Amino acid sequence: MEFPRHIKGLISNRREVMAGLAGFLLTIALLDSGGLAQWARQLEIGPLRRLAVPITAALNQTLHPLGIDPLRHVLLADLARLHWTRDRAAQQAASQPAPQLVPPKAPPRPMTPPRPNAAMISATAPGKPTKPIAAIANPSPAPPPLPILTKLPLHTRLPALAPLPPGVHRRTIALVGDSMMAVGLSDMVLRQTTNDPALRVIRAFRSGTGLARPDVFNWMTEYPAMIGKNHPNLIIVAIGANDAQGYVDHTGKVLAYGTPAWIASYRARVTKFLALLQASSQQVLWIGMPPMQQPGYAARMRALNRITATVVAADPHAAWWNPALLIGTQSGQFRALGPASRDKGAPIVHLRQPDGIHLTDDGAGLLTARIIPWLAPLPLPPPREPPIPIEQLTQRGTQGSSTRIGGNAVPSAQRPK
Amino acid sequence: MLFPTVSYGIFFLVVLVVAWALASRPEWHKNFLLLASYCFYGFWNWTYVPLLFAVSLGSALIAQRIQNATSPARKRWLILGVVLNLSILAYYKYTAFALLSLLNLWSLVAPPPVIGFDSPILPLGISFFVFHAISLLADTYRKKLRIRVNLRDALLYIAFFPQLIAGPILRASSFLPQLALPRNPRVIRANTACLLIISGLFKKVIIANILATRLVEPVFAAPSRFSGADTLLAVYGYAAQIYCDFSGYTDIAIGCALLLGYRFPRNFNAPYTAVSPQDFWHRWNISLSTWLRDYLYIPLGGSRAGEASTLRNLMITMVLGGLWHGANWTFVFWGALWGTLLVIHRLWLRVNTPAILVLRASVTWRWISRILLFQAVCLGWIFFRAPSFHIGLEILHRLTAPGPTTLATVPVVLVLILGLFGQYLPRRWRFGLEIEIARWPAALRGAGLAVALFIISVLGPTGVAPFIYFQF
Repeated sequence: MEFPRHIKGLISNRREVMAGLAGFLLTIALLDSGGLAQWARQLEIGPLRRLAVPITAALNQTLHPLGIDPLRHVLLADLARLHWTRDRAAQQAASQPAPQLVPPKAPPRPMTPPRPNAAMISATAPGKPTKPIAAIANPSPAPPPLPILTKLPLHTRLPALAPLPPGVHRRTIALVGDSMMAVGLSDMVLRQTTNDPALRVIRAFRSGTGLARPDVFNWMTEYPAMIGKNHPNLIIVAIGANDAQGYVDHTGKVLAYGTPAWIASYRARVTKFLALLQASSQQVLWIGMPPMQQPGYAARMRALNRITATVVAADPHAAWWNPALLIGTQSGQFRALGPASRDKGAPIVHLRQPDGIHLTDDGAGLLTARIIPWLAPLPLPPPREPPIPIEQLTQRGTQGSSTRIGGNAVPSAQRPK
Repeated sequence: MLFPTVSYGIFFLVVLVVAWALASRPEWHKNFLLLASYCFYGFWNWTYVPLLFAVSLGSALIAQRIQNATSPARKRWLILGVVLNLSILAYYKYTAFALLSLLNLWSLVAPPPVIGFDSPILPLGISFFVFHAISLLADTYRKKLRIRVNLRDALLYIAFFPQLIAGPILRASSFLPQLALPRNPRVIRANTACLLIISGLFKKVIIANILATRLVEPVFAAPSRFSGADTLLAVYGYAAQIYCDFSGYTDIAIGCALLLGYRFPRNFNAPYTAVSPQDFWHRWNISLSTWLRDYLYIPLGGSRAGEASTLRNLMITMVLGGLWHGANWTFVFWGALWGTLLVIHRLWLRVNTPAILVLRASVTWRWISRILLFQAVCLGWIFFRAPSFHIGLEILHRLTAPGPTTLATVPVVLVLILGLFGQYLPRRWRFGLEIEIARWPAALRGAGLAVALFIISVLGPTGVAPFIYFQF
């Protein structure tokens, strides 16, 4: 169909476009200045954020008295009542009285990042004393924490599985984490446990999240909603791929990635998150980040692993498991390709996605080849073993980075347990 | 930087204002757009900006040589340029695939050798910018370009940000002449552009994202956990998701380019209303299918050398088209399936008995064809989406599994219907809307756009998944 150029208004000139732009900007600022301020706060630490945060905050504070910006929450709450959305924030809003679309009487308060909401934790773990909720939100004074591991444990093994509580015949497993769980690993666990009546798997993962940015996705408040009324006997966690970044802590202080303050803050977040998981489960298996392809990113993930391994080692009901020797080379370095299994003659496959970060199904299969047999069969009689102290976790050679394709890549004697 | 994000919105608004401010100085205008395009690409990963620059510059220089050379040398320059570009694409995208296939074949007869190799990280949009570069070379060689190849314009043609990551694939012969002319600040199709952007965002943020997260991903992750009804819904859901995802992306791309004063070709035309395989490829990813036709099928001989070679050329084109989508045998199978469908359809068209001709002309037959073709398209999508043949076959197997549906919630069914049957809405409705809003004052139109974006952001799930075609 020929474009009807003769109709007035169908073709705009530059001045009309700029007028339209002005109308657009004014309207969007009125409707969603809060959303813009939130977007600015969620930017990565850097010049753009430094510029955007004060501008959008000022805009939001200026327009807030008009009382239009709660509109988004009102609509989300209505949609949640209609079961349109499954977003946690909207469901929370739906369960509360709808915000009023009138100007507030009190002056607006400065915006702060959301705080962990420990009151949301309601699940209790059978067979293990549950930590008081207050103790998770405000941990009591504890002995000085162990120093962060200087070397990452390479050879780790799966811990003894906690016995099921009396009367429970089916093990409930929650898969928790970011895209490192969502891509590949969760799919393989779900597929390989479908026909096992003794296992029940709950999906509680979300891509693009982490512990560094609760302003983007707050695991401390979202996890209880994701897990619902379930009481997992085991939680398998893989999280952290998005966490090697600076952030603003709850006091408003900017923490640059890798600084001592950042490490202490991130460690505290991991500790709180682990406590939250432990509050609803008997046992936690924390899968470390696999080796990554880009050297800089790989180094950051190793540093992150040292923090999570340190925190998890201090918890008797949690174990940290390093997948590097399964998914990587003999020395735990990155490899993109490799045998699909330990069987002789196994086909060579892509173990990692083209981004050099995520696992393929085949790569995840190398991990589930260990995890699934560990979960079954039930009932599980093995005596409970103490977790492996970090000092007993040995680190073997880390030299060599050549990836072997074909043949038996990992001699059986050197394979991780 | 994904289109449906605030970051892109702010980036684009800045580019829009500055680009039109520089419209009276075309050289500055294009320099600025080139810089903005490289920033856009670098926002994902600066590491690969030099690669984009090298591919663009190398192709532009070779295109200049082609224009300046005489007959035998022209062809040599073309071959050199095409081989270089395809080598880069092959290295990043297909080396590991080829190596794996070779080693696995080898392992059938003997233990394969041990080789030290890691496949490189796939640069975003490499399949698209390499195809743009080849289009530049081929159009120059075929003398379809009536202007001299200018280095800066060629760089901008390949890197122009609205099409850089996932198309539509522009022809050098249609876009470089646009770059050669100054932008006319009195002729901007802003209404069309805004409607395309709204439509694209609606399709991506609401339809594609809801279907992906609530229907398709759970079923394709573990098909054996779902009944036949859920599996069928997920297969149809993926058909709607991939259409809304990709056509949504191109709608936004076309809309953004229009606002900047550039015209992109249409890339989708209600593909699920197609009545034959050939008709489908005239409606689905039109820029890719015409690229394959002009730069692969026709150079292979097209339909000039008899029926057998035509069928062979069709099959080769579709298999390679499948492989272009991804280095996986499932994509090769998908391409081969389409090749087979096209071949069967071509043979069917040769049956011209009077009864068949009457049947083909009937409305009933058109609808039967449409429905049958849609099932065939969905069969292909199963293997396109599945990470392996095993999962694809499991999906097929699960289609017969009894049991109730657990995923057919109201939002899912609603967006599924919109995604599939929205294509039957008459185009004149959009024109009618365009004419209606043309009567509004410009500022009010901008306000309307803001309200529409706000509503879309409220209706869509939190977070935006990357576009499916980004991975290609």
